[in-house]
Order: sequence, then C-alpha cells, then structure tokens
Amino acid sequence: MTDRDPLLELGASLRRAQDERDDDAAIASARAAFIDAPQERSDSGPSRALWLGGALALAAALILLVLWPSAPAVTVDGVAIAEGAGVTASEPQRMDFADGSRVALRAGTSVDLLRAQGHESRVRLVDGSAEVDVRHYDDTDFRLDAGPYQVVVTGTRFEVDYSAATETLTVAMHEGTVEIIDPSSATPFVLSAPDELSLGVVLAASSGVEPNVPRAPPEDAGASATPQVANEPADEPTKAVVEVPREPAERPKVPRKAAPPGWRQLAKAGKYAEALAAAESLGFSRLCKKSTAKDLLVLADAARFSSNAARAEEALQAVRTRFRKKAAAARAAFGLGRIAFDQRRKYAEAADWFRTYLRERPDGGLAKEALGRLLEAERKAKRNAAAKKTATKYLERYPGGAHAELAEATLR
Amino acid sequence: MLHAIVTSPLRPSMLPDTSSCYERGRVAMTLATTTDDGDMLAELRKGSRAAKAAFFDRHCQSVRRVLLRLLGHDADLADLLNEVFTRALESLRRYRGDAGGLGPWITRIAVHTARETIRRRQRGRRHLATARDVDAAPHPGASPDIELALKRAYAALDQMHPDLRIPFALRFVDGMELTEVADACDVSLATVKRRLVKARARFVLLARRDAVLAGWLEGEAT
Repeated sequence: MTDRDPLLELGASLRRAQDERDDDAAIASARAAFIDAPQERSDSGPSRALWLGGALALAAALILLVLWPSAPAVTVDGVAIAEGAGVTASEPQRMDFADGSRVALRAGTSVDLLRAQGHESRVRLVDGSAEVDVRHYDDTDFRLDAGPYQVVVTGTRFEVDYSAATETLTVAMHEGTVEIIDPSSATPFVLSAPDELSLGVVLAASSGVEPNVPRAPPEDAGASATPQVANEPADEPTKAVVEVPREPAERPKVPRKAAPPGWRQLAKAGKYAEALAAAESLGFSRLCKKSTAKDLLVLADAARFSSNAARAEEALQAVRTRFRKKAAAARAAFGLGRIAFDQRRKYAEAADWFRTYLRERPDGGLAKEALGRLLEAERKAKRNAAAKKTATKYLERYPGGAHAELAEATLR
Repeated sequence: MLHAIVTSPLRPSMLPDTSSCYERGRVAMTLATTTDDGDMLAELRKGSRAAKAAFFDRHCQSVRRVLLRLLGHDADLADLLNEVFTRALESLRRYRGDAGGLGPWITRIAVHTARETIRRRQRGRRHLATARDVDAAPHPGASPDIELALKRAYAALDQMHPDLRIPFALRFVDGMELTEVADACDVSLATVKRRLVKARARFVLLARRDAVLAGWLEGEAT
C-alpha cells in the first residue's frame, strides 16, 4: 500500500465537505414525516387588525411620497435640468444625480438626459468623454447610450469615451461592473475593474484605435493576463523590403502561404472569438492540462469576452487546480467569482470565490474590488450576517470606495 | 417502563422537537439507552411514536451519511431519509436480529434505496446532477475548490454503473473498511474486492478527463 493515495485524499476532502453541510432542515422534515405527527400551525394569516394597520401605513407612505418636496433629480454644476434636456460642456462640468451618482463631463462633451427617476437613470453620450461614478443600490439601473451601444451600470466607476465621427466607444473600468450592449453581438460584454474595452469600426489606419480589444491589465508580476506581452515579436513584419534586381524568372514564384495565427496571437490582437475557435481546434481541454498559468488566464479572458462562460470557467479552474499556491490561482478565483455573479447569477458561489481571493491575496491588486463584490454577492445570497461583517470591513479599509454607500446601507 | 421514561418531568408529553438531529439524537440516546432494547424493538413494531422518534434520532446521521456518499448532496434528501426509515419500519416484521443489529441493517436499506434512486434516474434520463444542482447551504467556511471537486466527482460517479459506483463511494469517500462495504452492499468480500478494482480504474479514467479532478489525482503542479 503506498504512503499517499491521491484517491483516498480526494475522498477524505469530499467527505469532510459533505459532513460539514447543513442538512438540519431536511432531517427535521424527514423526522416529522416519519413520525407522522406534524405540528398544526395556525396559518390563518394576519389578523384583521394587522391588515387594517398595514393598509393605513401604506396609504400614509404614498401620500408622503406624493406631497413631500423632493430634490431635483439632476443638476449640472448646481443648476437643475429636466428630463429631455441636452447639455454641451464648454468647460469641464459635473452632472449630479439625486442618488449621489455623478457624471463628470470633459470640455466639449455633449450629453442628453433621457431619464432620471429614483435609482433609474438614462443618459445619452452624444459625443465626447466623461468619467461616470454610479452609486450602487439594489435597484440601481443606470444606462448610458453611446451611438448604437448601451452601457448598463449597476454601481461602478469608469471612464467612457465615444466618438461620433468614428462611432468608437472606449470604456475603462475603475470599480464595479458594467454590461455593454453591442447590437452586433449576440450577448453583452460584461466588464469589471480593471478591464478596458474599445468597440467600433476603424475608419482610418491612423485612428490609433483597435476595434474590439478588451484588455485585462495584470494584477501581479508573473500573473499577467494581458494579451500584450513586452518584447514579443510583432504579428506583422515592419522592416522595409529592398528589391534586388534579379534575372527575370521563367515562372513567377508562388509566395509561401503564411502560417495562420495561433490562438495566442489572435487573443493578443483582440480577436477573441477567433482565438477561442483556434484553441478549440487544438483541443481546449488538452490546452487546459498543458498550458502555463499565464496562457490559461489569457485563454479564460478570450472565452469570457467571447461570452463562453463555461470555457472561461474551465480555464480558470485549471489554473486553480494546477497552480494552487501561485498568484495566478488567486486571480483565477476572482475571475470565477466574476463569472458566477455576472453570468451565472450564482451569488453564494460568487461570494465563496471572492472570499477565496481575499484569503489568498489580502493585499492584492484586486482586493478592494473583491471585497466590494463580496458584499454584493453576500447581499444577493441573503447571507445577511456575513454581509454586515463585510460591510464593516469595507468601510474601515475603503471609506470612499464605490461600494461605500452599499456598505452603509447594509449596516443600517 | 418505556412509557414512564418518555413521560418524565422534563418532557411531559413527547420527545423534544429540538432544532438539530444531533440534539434530538443526544436526548433520544439518553432515553433509549435507559430502556430495554427489546422493548424498543417491540414498541417499534407496534408503531409507537416515541419508539419511532428514538429509532429515527439514533440512526438518522448514519443514514444521511450513506445517502450523501452515494448520491451526493440531493434536493430530495428529506424524502429519501423518510423513505429509508419507512421501508425499515415496513420490513421490521422480517427482521430477525436484535436491537444492536439495527444499525448495519438500516445501512443496507439506505444503500438499497440509493441504488434504486440511481437506477430510476438513469432510466428516466434525468441526470443525477440535475437533482443535485441546488444552491444548497454549504458550511460557511467551505472551500469553493472542494465544492467544485464535489460536483465534478459526482458527475463522474453518475457515469458509473451502480454496482461499481456504490462500493467505490463507500470505500473511497466514506472510508469504510472492505468488510463494512461488503456488508452494506450485501455481497461477499471477494465480490466487493473485484468490483472495487474495476470501480477505481473506471473513476480514474473519468477523472483524468476532467481538468479539476485530474489535478487532484496528480497532486501539486510544479
């Protein structure tokens, strides 16, 4: 018998996890059913007195809501503006919303205020740049239209630039999450800090804007997920070609067919769907077993930006399993939490992943974002006690962070 | 005698309906061990509620454990637990052992119930993971890596024949000794050994196709 049997170790870990589960409710239910003596409950519902009291309270609240004088929904440098109004900032100006959200307009930027009702706001960025800081509440619905695109915000801080001339949108995340609806894409792009994305058609080679190039800047040295790697050869040769006179050839030379770009090159160029297809042709699961941590993070981003959550998870899980004590594993935990929250809507699982990141990298570059996302996930998963503890921790560390208001609301 | 103990001053009417099976188990054990086991068995055969409660509280954790090992965490756990105990009660008239033998006996019933469940779901083409795929409440400190390994391990077990899956889960997940596995499966020791060799090979083959499980089986990566 060998000293170490991985199968027995796996079994022991699974056994411990199963034994720690809380099945008291199921056991109690089975016990009652078996003994055949469930307690009769008085479920006659609230008494008439309670109903009447509730109705009166609701009516009073509605009256207060209608009559209470409310602050203007939106102001620009202190001046109230109404829905439907347009603003062109001749100098930097600030648009403030009643819920604390802000849009800082750069000089020359034009916006239209389409809607501002409670936590539901809609702004059209006609042309120019703005820094957007949206306060997070459970029902936050802030949308920014820019040409054919729509940025859906639930509590975040980001920079946005839209050029009406080139129809190019660039979004750089600082905190939180947004969804970007691109009518040419079947599914929205989901961006979280520290992602950056440009969408649009390049009208001139000198525009300097590459289309559809989401980037995830590296968190730590050695754990980089950016597709841009220093010192790698450019995809296309840039050296000048000098023609040397030769004897005329009998037959024209057939140019050698260039090798198709690999998945790494495609990912670096921002062609994520093609990168994923190239990876699939090589065997995605095989790549997950053989690739380096860095490559796996790039592969995961390619899958995520191609809206393939399953493949993104597979690549990230491979990082977790194969590089357990490395920085990349923590980053993978953050990525898995993001997918669980944004795409799978599995908030308990998302909370576990964000907590894992914080346990493994308490001072990591994504710690602030992870703590804020953990708070969101715990609230959504109804882990109220845990959410309060997280809120306290968040306010101690990041009193001015994007999730500070949510943390305060959690503690009320 | 049993009736007098059940109606003690602390609990005038029936066994306490405390929140956790463990607490109830403790109380029930205290009561049950002070009774004559033959009396309890006799009372159980009569359908005495107190005896049923004591019986449930004494064995619910071991039954739960067997069901978890064989099926993974299941949304139907309450129904399955009730089914095992109900079958046990219905089979009691055929039981020829003493009260001390009830533990291994009900384990066999739990294994049999799990096997039927596995076969029924496979016949109905309902993937076992569907029944399991609920946002169940893991321990608050549960590692998501282990939770993921759990899901993947049971997805692999779903692809194994019950005759291989069951002894494998009892041996490698529950940690039962070979003789206990043989007794729980109601087969000979030689049969269990043969099946375990095949089961292990099958599970390893399936696990190596899964990036998460393959990592567990290969150990730490360099």
